[in-house]
Amino acid sequence: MNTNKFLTSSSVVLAVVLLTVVSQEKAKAQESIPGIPNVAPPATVVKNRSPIELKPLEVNIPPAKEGMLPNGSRVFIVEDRRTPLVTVSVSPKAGSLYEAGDKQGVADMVASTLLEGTKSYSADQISKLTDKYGANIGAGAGDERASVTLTCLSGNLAELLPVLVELVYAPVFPEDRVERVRARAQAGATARQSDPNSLASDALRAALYGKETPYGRPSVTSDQIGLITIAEMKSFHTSHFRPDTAIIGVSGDVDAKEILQMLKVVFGSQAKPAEAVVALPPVMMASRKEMQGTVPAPVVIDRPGSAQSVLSFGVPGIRRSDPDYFALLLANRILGGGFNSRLNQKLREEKGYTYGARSSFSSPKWVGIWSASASVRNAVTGEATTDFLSEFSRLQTTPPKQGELDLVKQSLIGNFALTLESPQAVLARSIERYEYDLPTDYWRNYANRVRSVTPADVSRVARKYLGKGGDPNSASAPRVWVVVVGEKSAIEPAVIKATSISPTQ
Amino acid sequence: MPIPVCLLLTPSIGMIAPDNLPQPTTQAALEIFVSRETSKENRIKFEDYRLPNGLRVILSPDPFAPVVAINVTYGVGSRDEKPGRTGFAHLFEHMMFQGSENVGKGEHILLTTSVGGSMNGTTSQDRTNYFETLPKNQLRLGLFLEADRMRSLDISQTNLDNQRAVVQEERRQSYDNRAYGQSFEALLDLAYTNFAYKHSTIGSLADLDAATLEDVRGFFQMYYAPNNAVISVVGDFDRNQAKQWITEYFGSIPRKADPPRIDPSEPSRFNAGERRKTLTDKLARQTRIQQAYVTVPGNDPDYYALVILGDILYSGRTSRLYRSLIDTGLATSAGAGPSEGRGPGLFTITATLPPGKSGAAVGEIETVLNREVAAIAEKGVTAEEVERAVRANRVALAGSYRTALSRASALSLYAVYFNDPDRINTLAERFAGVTPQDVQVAAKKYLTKDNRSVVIVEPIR
Repeated sequence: MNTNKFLTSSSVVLAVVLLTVVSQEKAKAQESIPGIPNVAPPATVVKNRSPIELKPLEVNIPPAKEGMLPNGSRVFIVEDRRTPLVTVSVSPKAGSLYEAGDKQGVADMVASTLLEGTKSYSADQISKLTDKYGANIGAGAGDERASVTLTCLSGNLAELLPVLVELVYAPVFPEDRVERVRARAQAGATARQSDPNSLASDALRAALYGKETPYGRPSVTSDQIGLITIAEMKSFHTSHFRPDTAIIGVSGDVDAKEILQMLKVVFGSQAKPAEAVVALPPVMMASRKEMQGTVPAPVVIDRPGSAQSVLSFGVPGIRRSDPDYFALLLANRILGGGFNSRLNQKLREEKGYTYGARSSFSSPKWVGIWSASASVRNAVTGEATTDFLSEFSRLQTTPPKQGELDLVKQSLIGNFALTLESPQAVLARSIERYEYDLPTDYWRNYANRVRSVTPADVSRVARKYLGKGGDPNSASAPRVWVVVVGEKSAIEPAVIKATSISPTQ
Repeated sequence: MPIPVCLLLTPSIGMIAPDNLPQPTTQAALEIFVSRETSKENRIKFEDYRLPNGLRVILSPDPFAPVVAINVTYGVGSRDEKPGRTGFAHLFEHMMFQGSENVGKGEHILLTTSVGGSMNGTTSQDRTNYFETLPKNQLRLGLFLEADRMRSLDISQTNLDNQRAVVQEERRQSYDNRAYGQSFEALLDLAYTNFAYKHSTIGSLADLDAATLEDVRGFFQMYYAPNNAVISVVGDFDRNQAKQWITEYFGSIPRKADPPRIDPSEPSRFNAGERRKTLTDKLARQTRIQQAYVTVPGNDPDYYALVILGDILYSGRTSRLYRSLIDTGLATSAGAGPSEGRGPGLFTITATLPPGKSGAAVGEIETVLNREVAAIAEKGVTAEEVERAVRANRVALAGSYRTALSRASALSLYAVYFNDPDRINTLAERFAGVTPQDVQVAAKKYLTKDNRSVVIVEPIR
């Protein structure tokens, strides 16, 4: 009995102690876990009871292995021996920016016809060979570069690389094949004309760069594609598919030394032409000249039958080399670069106007665009436009709280860990560094550069790029180019009204 | 194919797929490149156990990159919805980000993205999943967040109204304001008789309007139970530490009554007769034809032959429909293949005509499609065609599981669908086992006129 009692009372004591510990733990969990700065936008509620690791995991992104072929091609290699697959892409400077104004569409036609027959391989042989090995080969043209990409089992690379080099440097553009590619390209161009996002981005680029420039001309039309001749395609290919402008990217199940040697042999016979490389056309932003002038009128594009309005806003931005790059990177994150950004929180999580509102900026070798967009139901087109404009003002007038900015910085720095999962992403970082002539320690110093941005920097670049005067020292009503694509008769009055009233600051 | 609907819109990345050839001129030099044996040991190893409350746990440590991926999949999808509540499973998925006992509205997303992670949730006919990839030092955070919302929901009428509006905009953006956005709904409606798969996952605006807070609570009570869920964790973590946290956070969530199971069968599918519908699409610029044949669940032995059949019809530039539709210029794009689901799937064939073509051209394409299908049913396929398709699938599978999240998602999915997470490792072998006879039998059995539904989408002239 005694023993029992003793034991019993002892158990009770122990239980009480445990209860105390538990309730202390609970109190701690509910109140004093050191959490994130509670600076969330109003539509988010931060309880801060989750076990978050406040110290970010900092990792270095290893550089790709680099090499150069005797003919001038730059080679970047990332080994990933986990699966027996390899991806090789060859990207010469042969994008649409190099097209003459009356030859629009030629870059894409050339890239799309590379698979349709070469000096040594007919289209049918290329198809049979790729299908035999279960390989994929794709080709396309971007702004500056065209790309031909091969993905295959690493064991089949020796058979397929010689095909790849022919696709890039020795296509023959057979007439019947060109016509089939042309028909598909024309279908694509026709389809784009019903895509509201494509219509909006065309109009925005035309407004900012001028629609006569290579940077601002609208997407190619079916009629323009119809005019391209095979002779023009051959001439474009000869001028722009040059080994001395090409980047060769390799990722996957390869040994860097072996593959570099192999590329030297397979690609090395392609000599570089004697002619000088064609330079990118100079960029003149039409919109820059208007910066001190009147507020640009909104452009409303009619798309009958639209269930939503696509709202699109933009201003001239920066080149990648601009010293404002990191300030703008963070300003954009706060404005619309993520779920918890101001635009998405306001338009989606507070108002329910849209499935998502976002902003983004491009920073190419030329002056890019800082833009924002959302698809909203017709009835709230005006209100949503007003909300965008007021966020463009607020970013100028109200610097982010230090905590708000810190969260965004941590997100950028922490995300490096995820990059390491993808050899293709690691490869892309090294190529990016080369393309933009960034210092060799760029990615190692990236976190520090991100950390150095202050709340004042954010509002400074907001004033500089979003403000009427382009003056970093004084906030003003936003001066942005506005494009809306939708049911014009139903939405135009609301858009005009929203853009003619300057939001209060 | 049915496409899951998501909490967030994320860009999808697609790759376009396209014998004896001249010897490369550089043969000697290529010998330095030692051609490795390509059948590497790629088996994905994992541990599979259950907590006492029924939660199935799958752990697959892999130190390749300093990340962890978590996928929680619940055995509920739009097939479990009631008439009058289409779209509800997906609306509910949005509500899972609106707050739980210890996590505020939107806080899940704020925390996971602020540490550099990525996250989303998606709903399909057959399941709902929630997932995140995080830097490896945040595993505990991810587990806590998933457990808190499995245990409790803390939501309000305001949040429901807000997310209802968001989902309705998602419907408008992804279906109603997009060319061909509504044609798949029409195809589902024609192909199936059973409500489970007859309606779309995104649902109708009217049904979304009808959803109440009571519906949300009832759905949580019925389906969001540890015994109706699988959690998979893949990446760079310590197995014992993960087990300890999983027990700590998920172990005390009470088991609930087993959720009701629907009967998705389609007993009359093979002899219902051909069903047809023509839609007018204000946003389309080209005529499109979509055919669907009702088939089998993804773990039926016939499924693997149907995959190979789809590839023989349209995968790569030597495939049959590529030759007869694309090479001839009859169509500008096409596709063919089965869906992989828990219930009777669909084998779909799609072809899009060049701009300006309709009327007689539609008839011509239909004739080609039906002729190619009949040719396989009557004369079969060659061993070479099967080998090619098997190899293409092997390459595709090898590339499918390179991220921790892709593995976590597949492990959870196959556990929920077929009680077979190891399917991630055995699919390639199953495809390799398909014979030309299997392909012919599958074509004969499923790709019949009486089992065919056809939707033709015409642009406005």
